[in-house]
Amino acid sequence: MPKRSRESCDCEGAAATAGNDDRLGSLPDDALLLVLSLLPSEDAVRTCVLARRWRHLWRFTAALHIARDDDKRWSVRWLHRFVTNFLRLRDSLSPLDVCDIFCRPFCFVPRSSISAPSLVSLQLSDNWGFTPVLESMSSLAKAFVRFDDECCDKCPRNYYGDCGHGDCDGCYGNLYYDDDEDNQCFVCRKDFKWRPIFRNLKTLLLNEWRTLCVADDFRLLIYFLQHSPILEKLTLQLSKVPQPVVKAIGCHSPREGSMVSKCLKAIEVKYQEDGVLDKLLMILNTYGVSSEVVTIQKKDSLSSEKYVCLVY
Amino acid sequence: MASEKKVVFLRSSDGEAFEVSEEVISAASVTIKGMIDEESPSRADTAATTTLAIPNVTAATLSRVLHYVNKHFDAAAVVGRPDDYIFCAPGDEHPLARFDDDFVDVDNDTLIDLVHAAEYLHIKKLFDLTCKAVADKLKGRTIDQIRETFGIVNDYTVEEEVEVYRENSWAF
Repeated sequence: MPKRSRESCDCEGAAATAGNDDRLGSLPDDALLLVLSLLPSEDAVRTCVLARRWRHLWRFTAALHIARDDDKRWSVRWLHRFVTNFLRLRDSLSPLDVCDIFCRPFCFVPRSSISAPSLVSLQLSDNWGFTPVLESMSSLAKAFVRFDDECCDKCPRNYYGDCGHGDCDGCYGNLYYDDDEDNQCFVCRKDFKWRPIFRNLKTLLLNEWRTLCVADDFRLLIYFLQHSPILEKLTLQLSKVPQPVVKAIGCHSPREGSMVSKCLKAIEVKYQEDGVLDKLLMILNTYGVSSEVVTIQKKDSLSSEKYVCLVY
Repeated sequence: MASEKKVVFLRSSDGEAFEVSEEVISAASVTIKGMIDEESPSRADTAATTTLAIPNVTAATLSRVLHYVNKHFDAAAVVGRPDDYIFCAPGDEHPLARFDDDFVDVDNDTLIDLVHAAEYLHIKKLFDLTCKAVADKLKGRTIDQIRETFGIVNDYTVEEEVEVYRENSWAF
């Protein structure tokens, strides 16, 4: 029923025949589409009932905006229904440049997957529940991923998230909760089990000293160093003195498979208190990082946010 | 001759001419830059100033547009990047954020005229600013309120309206 061609959104003829003084409807499609793309998507879709001129316009907007802050109307079911219909009924040839979903609280239970092969920029922050699975995103140029403390990905039994207990929620998607576990680390371990290589990664910022760097005897840091062949810039923000280091299971040989990027031009280390700096420098040295590219800054205060930022 | 500031005159649809620096208007408006470039071979050796007809924009609107353009260009010059018109994007931190807010705090007809002018003259930042102002006027309003605010007449037949509601019921 809905017409799906670009021409169909041009309903100016209809407005003209109505003979009214519709100044807003007199604007060209480009202007109205920009206006609609700046509205919450519910409002944008609802303009379809204003008049004929507006019936199909929303289908060509380049943005999906949903903002729900503890609102009475917001539920996962509602969100799913709205987004599904929005994507299904919009014009399939018009690019969707912005997909901005802000829902609080937002909980990924059960585990979701995000499949967006053309996605250029991804920001995923402060989600509850399970970290979503990101499917292949070959166009991704910029990503910002931040784990929340409420993240459910953790397992007390198995280091790599494959404990064999079918009812384990940390490993197999049900719900398990334990405040003491370092869940950020767990997610990385589970993912790194698949030995990903960050072929396009050029800039990497690692925050959260304890979980991402020191834990596991620098294993995650080393992993990034070894599997990012064209890495140019690495920034380490060491925001606090590490907690007792999580005991490493198994051991790694520093010499094995050393392939630190030859493009590496700069490593910035920002820290607040001395402690494991020597160890860090030793590790970098062991993995063939020239001390010339390392700059070290002591800071009085650092952002306490926990995040991993990958810029491809 | 080169060091003198060149000016052009823009004649509005209702016949009023406005003087503006060629440098300023070329940086701001893609459309007028194109007109000036087309004119330039014929006036290279003459001292005569150019008058460009802007048939789609009234004097009232054109004068507002030039006020916006000059203000933004001056601000860019203060920042030390006079050529980078884009640099003067409206934004919260920007010194012109307040100016921009006041600039679009106008009645609906004036605002719509500004969108038309920005679109015709191809002044992207003004187009973005004015479209955002229109969006702000629509935000949070019911369909009836929007119709009333902008004088939109519902030209659907009853059957059509029922059908439109039905096919988009998921959004209501």
